[in-house]
Amino acid sequence: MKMRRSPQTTLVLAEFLKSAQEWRYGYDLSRDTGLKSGTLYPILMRLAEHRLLETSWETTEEGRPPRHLYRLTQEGLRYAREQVSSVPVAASGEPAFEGMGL
Amino acid sequence: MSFVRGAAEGISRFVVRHASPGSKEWAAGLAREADFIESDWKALTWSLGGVRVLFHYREAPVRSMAELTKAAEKYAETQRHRFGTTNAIWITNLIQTLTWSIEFFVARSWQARLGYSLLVLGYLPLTVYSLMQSRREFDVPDRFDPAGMIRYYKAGLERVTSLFAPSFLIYAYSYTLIPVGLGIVFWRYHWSLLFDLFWVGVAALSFQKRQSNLRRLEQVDAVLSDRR
Repeated sequence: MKMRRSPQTTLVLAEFLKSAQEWRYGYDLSRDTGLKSGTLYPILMRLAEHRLLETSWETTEEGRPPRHLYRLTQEGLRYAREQVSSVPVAASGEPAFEGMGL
Repeated sequence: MSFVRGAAEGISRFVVRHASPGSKEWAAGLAREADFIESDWKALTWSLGGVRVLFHYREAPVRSMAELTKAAEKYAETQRHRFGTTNAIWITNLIQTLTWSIEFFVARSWQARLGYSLLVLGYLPLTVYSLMQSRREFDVPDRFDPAGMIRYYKAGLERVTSLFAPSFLIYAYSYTLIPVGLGIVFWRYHWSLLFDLFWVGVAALSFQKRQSNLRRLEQVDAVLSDRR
């Protein structure tokens, strides 16, 4: 099954590429991309289904519930680089993800 | 705790409780994040956004050989015990075929005859196919053959997701003729619109199920390729 391409998905992938090896929290991703949880989580779930994203649970303090963490897999990193680099140049003449350290 | 924060937590708990097996982990992760949002209102909108997780049914993911074996066993078990259900399906289809055939012969207008003939042509292949399906449970591999059950499971998924499989072609053919036939026969009645709604619902559910099976097939392939 093909992964659906959308500007929001590309935005999430670009955000992951900023710190490729780091685990990220859902809320941080939402804040940094400006996507609401209802948009962000379905994208993360689809990425994970395609084995482009791996998940983990992080225990913060003893007795407190763990936090869910996300990171692109090697295949996900390859896919993200492809997708982000193929983003069309915006009308202003600047790539849509200019200034994101890509 | 403020009322708004309490509402956010209540919504998150509701989502976690009612999320489908494949989404539960995500719902729990999403709910947990709300604890790290300082603003109560932002936490509430975060939790409300999470309700979207409930809209898509996802089966529990298959990520390891153990989970695949378990899923294959479960599938094989349902195939062994579906004898009664499949019999009920083909008998119901047969009754429909016979009923509409009789209506065809007693119909007086050409329009009614056209509608009934479409219904017979729609139900007849469904009857034959469901009868053949009811005899398939004998192919189910033995309980002590996990490799055979996994092969059987994968073949089943491939069959129900292929657009060229006989099952898909027969259902597509029949589910096109039947609503058209019903529409022609009952065109005078306003409530005949309910038939259209029903068939739209059936089509939507079938599409959803196919997507879910495609996802599962991908997971099965991934687990098997990791093992090689």
